[in-house]
Amino acid sequence: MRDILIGTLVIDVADAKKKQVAWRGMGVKEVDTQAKPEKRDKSINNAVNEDLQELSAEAEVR
Amino acid sequence: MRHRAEADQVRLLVPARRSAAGRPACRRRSAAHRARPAAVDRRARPPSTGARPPAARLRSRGRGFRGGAVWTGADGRRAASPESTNEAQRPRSPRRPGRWTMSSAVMVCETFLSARVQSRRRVPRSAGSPGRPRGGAHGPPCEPEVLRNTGPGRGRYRGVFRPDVRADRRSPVPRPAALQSERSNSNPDERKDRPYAEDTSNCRPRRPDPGSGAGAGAEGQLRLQTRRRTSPAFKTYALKDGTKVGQQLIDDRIVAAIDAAAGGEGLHQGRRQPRRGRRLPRGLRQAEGHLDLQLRLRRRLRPVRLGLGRRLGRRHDHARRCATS
Repeated sequence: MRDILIGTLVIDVADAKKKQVAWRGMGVKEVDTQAKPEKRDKSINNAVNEDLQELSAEAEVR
Repeated sequence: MRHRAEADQVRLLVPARRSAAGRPACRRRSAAHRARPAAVDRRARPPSTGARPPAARLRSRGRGFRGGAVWTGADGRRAASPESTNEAQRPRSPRRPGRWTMSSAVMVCETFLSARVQSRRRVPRSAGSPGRPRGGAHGPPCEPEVLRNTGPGRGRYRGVFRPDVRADRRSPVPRPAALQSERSNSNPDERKDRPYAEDTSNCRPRRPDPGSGAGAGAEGQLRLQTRRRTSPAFKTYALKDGTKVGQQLIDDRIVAAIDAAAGGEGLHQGRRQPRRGRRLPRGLRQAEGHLDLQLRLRRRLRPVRLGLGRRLGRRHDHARRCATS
């Protein structure tokens, strides 16, 4: 048995005027607790960029 | 015998070579191995027991093998020696139990998404070429002033508008009057909410699509009205903290990553932070799960926690009661 730590990053984009959540992005990734800070930065940046790319893609479709 | 027990427990599924007599085959030792058999034995011998376990036979490997020896079990199968660093034998580092860590950051954009939708809604998917790629040689060249919000790094829609300024950006060609769009010919009062009409007057019509067979000049003019409403006021956002990860460094990294990504989109952080949902009276501040009541008594702050109907801290009138008693 091997336990895997999985982290989920959720970004909600809310419309301040309507006070509603307009979009929700979610990224799931395995968390390496032994990772170096550089690798953590890289993985977090990748997760955020992937989420926001989905947001842009959805906005384009609309 | 500790080593024997280990050898019996670890019976890997690697079949050992057997000779015709049914005994485990041993490779012929080379001259180098014969010259130094003690080193091989010393490496393979378990440190706790001086004698070799009878059930296990030491089998040396051939030339070029640096790992010492391989213990074979009683059944002739290969087993791990106590010094070996077999992956199955290595004690794994205790890891945290699997759990889902929820960390969220709420990004409140004032009109971020709506601005996107507006800009995209106006981009025509022309009737003549619906599958036309955005940009390229299809867009009408126009003034850079029109596209001042579409510079490099100013949003993901630069791919849509960049080809408009590629060729004639420095030398705009005046647009023929016959090809003016209906928007620019409309009533000026109606043009108030279409502030792009004047700016696009110098733009040429879009090149007719050879595949469509129809001139799309008017459509091209309509296409230029797209970016006007993307004023800088629409490109602000504010961050509102969600569930924390638990480690401040990771929280800071997430916030910095969102800032960087939003900055790459052309957004900048607004000055005003989003208002809290509930406005508390003066003297109260909201914390997670409970309210902290701060009363100023005798020039000192005495926090009184009110949670679950129970007062955990000192009552605010404790000093008064003490004074009266």
